[in-house]
Amino acid sequence: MVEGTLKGGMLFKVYKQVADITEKVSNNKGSIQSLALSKTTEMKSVTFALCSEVQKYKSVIDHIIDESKFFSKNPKLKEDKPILRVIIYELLLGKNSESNESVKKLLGNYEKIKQNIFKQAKSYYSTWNSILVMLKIDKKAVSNEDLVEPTTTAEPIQIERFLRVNLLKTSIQDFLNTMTTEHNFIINKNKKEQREAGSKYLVKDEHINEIFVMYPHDAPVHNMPSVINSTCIVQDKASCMPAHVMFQTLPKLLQERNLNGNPVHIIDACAAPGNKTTHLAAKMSESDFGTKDLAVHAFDRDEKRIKILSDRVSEAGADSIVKVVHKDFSAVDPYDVQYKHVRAILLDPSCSGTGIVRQGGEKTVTQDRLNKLKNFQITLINHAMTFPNVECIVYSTCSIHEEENEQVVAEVAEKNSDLFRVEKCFPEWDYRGIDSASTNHVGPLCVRTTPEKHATNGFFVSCFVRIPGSQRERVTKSLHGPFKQPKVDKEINKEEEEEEEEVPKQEVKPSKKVNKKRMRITDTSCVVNKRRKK
Amino acid sequence: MATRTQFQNSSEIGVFSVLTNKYCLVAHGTAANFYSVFDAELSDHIPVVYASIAGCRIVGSLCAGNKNGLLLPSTTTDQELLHIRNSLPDEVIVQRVEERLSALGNCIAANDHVALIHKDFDKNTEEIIQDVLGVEVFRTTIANNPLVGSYCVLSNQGGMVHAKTPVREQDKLSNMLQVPIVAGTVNRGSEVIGGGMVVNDWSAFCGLNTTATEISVVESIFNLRDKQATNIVTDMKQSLIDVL
Repeated sequence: MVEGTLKGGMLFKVYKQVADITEKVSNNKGSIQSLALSKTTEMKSVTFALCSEVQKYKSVIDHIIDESKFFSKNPKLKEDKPILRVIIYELLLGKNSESNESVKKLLGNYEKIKQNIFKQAKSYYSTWNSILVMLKIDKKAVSNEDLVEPTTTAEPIQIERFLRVNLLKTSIQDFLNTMTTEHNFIINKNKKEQREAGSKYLVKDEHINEIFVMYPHDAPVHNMPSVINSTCIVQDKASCMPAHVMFQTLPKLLQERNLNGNPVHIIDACAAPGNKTTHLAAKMSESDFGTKDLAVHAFDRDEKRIKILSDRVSEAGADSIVKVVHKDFSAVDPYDVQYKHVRAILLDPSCSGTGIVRQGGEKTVTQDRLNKLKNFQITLINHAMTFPNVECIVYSTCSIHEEENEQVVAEVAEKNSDLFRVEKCFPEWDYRGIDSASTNHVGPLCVRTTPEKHATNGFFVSCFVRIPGSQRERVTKSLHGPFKQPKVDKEINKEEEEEEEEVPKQEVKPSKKVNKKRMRITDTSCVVNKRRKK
Repeated sequence: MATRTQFQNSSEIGVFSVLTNKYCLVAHGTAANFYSVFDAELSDHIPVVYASIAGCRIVGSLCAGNKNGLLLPSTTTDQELLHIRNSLPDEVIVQRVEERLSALGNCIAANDHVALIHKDFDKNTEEIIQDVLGVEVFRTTIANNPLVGSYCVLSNQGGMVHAKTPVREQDKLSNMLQVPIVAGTVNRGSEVIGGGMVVNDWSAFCGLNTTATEISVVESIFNLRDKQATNIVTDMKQSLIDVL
């Protein structure tokens, strides 16, 4: 993996980074992606590649270390185990291991490094090598790849690739014409139709009009002209659902309540990176509310993410509808005149991200963090419900935990039972939320998706609708201002910041961190002070 | 082709000779008979050298080698080392090894690509074996016996092991070495294969007691029928090993 040109100090530096990162990943302190691509990392691509490879072969490498009894003979070096893993990977499994010369060269480079562990490599190389060969013979493995347990490498669940037609830029018919003529896609009526290998297919989704499943799922899409000029957007079906649900509910609601003809504004409370926002905008331009005053207010509080958001919005041609605001949604005054026409709010707040299917193994979330997220999510929904003219709130997460989904919905619904009720959303979808007495049976009213059944990321969508005529007395601002819950906010915000960077163009959301940077909680005091000064 | 011979009325000729693709070491005997058998068969292609180790004639038990090098025990005198160095081709590395288990021939079985070694060998020795012989090294036993050099004989064409080696172990060895392996005997039922015969890629020498059946097994596993001492040495085995 590391090229022959990498020598001495640099080689050691990269190894050290890889060792640190893999150790952190094993302790659930982050994902390879976020750590290896973070700002402080040098030679990102090499480090990233090496990290994922080392992590992949970890069980094999540990077997080799144990069998060679390295640490019982060198107990002093025990602390260097992570770095030893990298060394073993490079000597035995990496690209350099393929020829004798490059192994010799590598060993030569190791000799020049001061650390004792590198010096040991030479004398142990043959032992390690023979253990590896024996292991391969035992497992009847032909290549190194075969040694890795299939459960940890190949993702057992394959999620499908969806393309959403950007109705702001093109029509479905035009899109299909371009795809068939320019990109040689074949349009199939349904998923069961025969498909030949080597050809590319598009299948219209049975639920949502403007999205298409693409086959094969690994066909290169990100450099397709249609994707680059944003006439279509690579977006998971699950993440298209909130906007879909909203536009199933909202027009009906406005009709019933004789609100047609009034301006319609929508808030996207946690908008970045912006796929849902542009989807909302597209849906909005499609529907007929009997008014020309349409707007989407897209909030996000992170500076970097807001940039991604506004880039995406302009790429998608949604500038005229979407107003990007760099602000924390929970600090928005619901009685601000700007937002008096807000009829609906889309809430997709930070969550544990456990629904997202990704390469590189399972991650776990601590109960502590779940509780924090839950509180944060509840505060956000409560805040959303204080907007006086909001008729409909769609709440979604990409988490599979009941704590962040049904429990949040139940708790909010109970607390605001005079104002809002939970609406049965997306009735034609048969996979519903978890039904339980402890959550007041809100489960069946909500929608869930799961990778196993729907070949999408795990997702949760619910929908609150205002009880007709209900209004609450105007509450003083301080109760809902930013001062009430900065602790959770701050922390989650920090994590998010890292999470999205470096991979802005991809639909798959990178991981969220667990137990990350607890220390920063102390920062909050100064934040509060700053805000007071304003 | 396999030849039968004996060393002073002993059929254990593997004890008294070392045969590789680049050279052959033969012990001093009271008569030149033993030497001349090797000489007649090999001298057109490789040097056949009289040798002794620490004054002993059991060169086959004490040293191990292949086309890349030759390992001698620490007991070898300087004079003997010098003599062997001078007699062997220049590209063959001759190296003395400080190892407690000094009967290297009994503890190492090697072809030009892989070496099986005694489980208790020192780490440094393992490294030296790897460097001098240019092989991949495996610590193994043959039929639960750590003396791999005594109970197995290897060439780049095939290998023969102790008669009581389980099939599973044979499979494992053959996978490891990338050559066919057979369990068998020499010298009318002796399972000390390494003591009873020596072999390289185009010729084999067995003890005089070896039966016709045993000879035919040897010839077929080591691929010796109608073999010429042409360029077999540098054949395509390397590629196979790379796959491994």
